Amino acid sequence: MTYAIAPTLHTDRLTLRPPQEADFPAMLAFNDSPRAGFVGGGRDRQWVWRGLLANVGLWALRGYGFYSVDTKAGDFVGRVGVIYHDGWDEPELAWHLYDGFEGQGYAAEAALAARADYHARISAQPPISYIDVANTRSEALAQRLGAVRERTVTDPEGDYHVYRHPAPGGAA
Amino acid sequence: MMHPAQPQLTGLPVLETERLILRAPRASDWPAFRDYRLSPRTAYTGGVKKPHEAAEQFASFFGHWVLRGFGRLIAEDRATGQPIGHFGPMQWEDAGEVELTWSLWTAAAEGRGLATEAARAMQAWARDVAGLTSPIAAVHRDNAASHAIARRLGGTVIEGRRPAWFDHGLVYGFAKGGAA
Repeated sequence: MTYAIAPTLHTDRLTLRPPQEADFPAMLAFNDSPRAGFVGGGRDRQWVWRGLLANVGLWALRGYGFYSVDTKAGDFVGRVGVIYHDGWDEPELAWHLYDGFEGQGYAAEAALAARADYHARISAQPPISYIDVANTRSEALAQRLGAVRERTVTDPEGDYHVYRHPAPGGAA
Repeated sequence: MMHPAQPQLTGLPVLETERLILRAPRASDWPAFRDYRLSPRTAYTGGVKKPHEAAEQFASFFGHWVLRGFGRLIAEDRATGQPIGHFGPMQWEDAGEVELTWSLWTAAAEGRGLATEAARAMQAWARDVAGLTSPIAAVHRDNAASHAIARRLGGTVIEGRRPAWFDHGLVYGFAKGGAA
């Protein structure tokens, strides 16, 4: 059996690596916490597991997806990557950090690496980021990454700004 | 949802039975799976889902093979070339018992023993090739057709056990992987 898995990317402070089964407890804790409120938390345990499997499966199918992000010390701090869900307009650069790891620039550092990797291996088309209109911290990060708000969309889950990332090689 | 650049999960088993071919899931199975997963046929397996949940479950079939080395195959009707359901062993995150599963996607495929034929082939593969020697099956209380399949596969009800992922049902055990 052969399949694609994520490459491993290194930044100054972080390692972006393939998802693995050992990530599940941290994913579940995040899902069960208020921190996941903007990104569809509060799911049943089995759907969190299914989400991990689906991410591995989408790597195998498409060659991109969420990376699991570790510090050099080995702390699993969150997930960052380009994802493309059913019903979405385009691939999205997405990020979330687990409790205790925010405020240190980890999300920006990992997002820049994941975005560059996506452009290098998959597509030159700039991804979008969907951001809940109440998620001001994530919106500020999108702006720091050089993304520009294009429009606001509404679905049954809520209202989302659609940010467009800069073309490869553009300002970041 | 599915726009893969190329098939990137290869080398999964292909099982041939009298009327079916069981082969790896592929992106082109998605519309048929989505129609099933959004239909009332899923009443005994978690209920009707939203499209993004169906897509996540479909993608999870691929990830399960990657992480576990076993998983669901898609049964294709030799006569029509159409995918008719998913079959195979699965295991939840707690590394607990392996479950044999069988799901026919349409009513049109029912009533001819196709599900039993596919489930038997996967049962044999799970036991003889994957080495999964003591699987279980979880069947909803009211799913008579599925209870019949479990019995045909040599399953016996484990007294006192209830399925982990729905409230009303029975758990079957398959000694040494079930009847040969």
